[in-house]
Amino acid sequence: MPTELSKVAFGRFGETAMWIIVALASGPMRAARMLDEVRRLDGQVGPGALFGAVARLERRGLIEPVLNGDRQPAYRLSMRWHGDSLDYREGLAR
Amino acid sequence: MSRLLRLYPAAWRERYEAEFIGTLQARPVGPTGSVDIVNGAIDAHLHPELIGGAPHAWTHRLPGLIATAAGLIWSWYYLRIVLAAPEDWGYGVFIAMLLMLFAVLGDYMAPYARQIGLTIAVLLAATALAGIQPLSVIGDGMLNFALGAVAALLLSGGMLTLAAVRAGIGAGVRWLLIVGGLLVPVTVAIFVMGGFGPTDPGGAPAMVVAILPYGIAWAIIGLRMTLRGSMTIHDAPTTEQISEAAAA
Repeated sequence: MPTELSKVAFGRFGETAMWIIVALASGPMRAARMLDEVRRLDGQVGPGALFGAVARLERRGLIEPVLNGDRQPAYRLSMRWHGDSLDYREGLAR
Repeated sequence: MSRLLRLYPAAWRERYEAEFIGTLQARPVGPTGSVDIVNGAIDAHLHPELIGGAPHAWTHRLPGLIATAAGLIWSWYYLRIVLAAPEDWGYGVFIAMLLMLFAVLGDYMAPYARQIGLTIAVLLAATALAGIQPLSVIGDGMLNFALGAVAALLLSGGMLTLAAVRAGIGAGVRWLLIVGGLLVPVTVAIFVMGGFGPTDPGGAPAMVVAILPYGIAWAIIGLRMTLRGSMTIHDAPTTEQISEAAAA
């Protein structure tokens, strides 16, 4: 993952944003599970930092809200991340 | 813990609050988590563009920074009187008052022009009457003192109210700040200085009880104003404001 690029685009939320993307690569998930995954990958992360990163990713169109099978709000990677034109560097640097 | 979410901007809460509360219920956090939430709230205020708001120009932070500085200078000035008991009192209070005046001037005042005008008129009238010497025969000068006190309370209370309005503080908390930062301390001080309390009448402790909370209230309002951002007089309206005005 391009840590230096993510820090430029996301400030102190860069690491958390990256791990959110890694977590969502396995499929849509709710914020609580996302928090578990990010904590597993990145250590102690609080909900304030999680939602700060989520807001930035959403703003840049890198993730999008969806309703899961229980009609509960969740997040997934946006279409930008799928197909042959995947370029996370472009996405993170925007 | 979810009470801390009130620190976030309204637009942010509208978008994320329900999910945030759900996350907190599923994964409760401790004291460290509280710090994280407060940090997140500060970040949300500093970056309104994340939830569709217009980004703040650095000038939008100026009134809040000035108000915070005024509150801190005011508080330091009166603490210094007690802690260091200086011979000279310096110009701290004048600098603080000047900064308070700069902090409240802005476009947001326009809808309150009538109330502000009325307050200034009463303030000037009370000040003028307080200076009339023949009135001092009434109650051995107590009438002059009372008029002066009314003018001082109107000035300090009015300024604090304007700052709170500019900081986007609701009426309930606004009153709390005025009562806690001004009315109660001044009442206590008058009680003490009147010789009813244990403190040396007229001494520095009484003055600090009366005046220090006012500085603290200004610092709190200033911090809120800084985080929220506020248009300054010379700022051009944002695109959103123009759209809102056109829609209205």
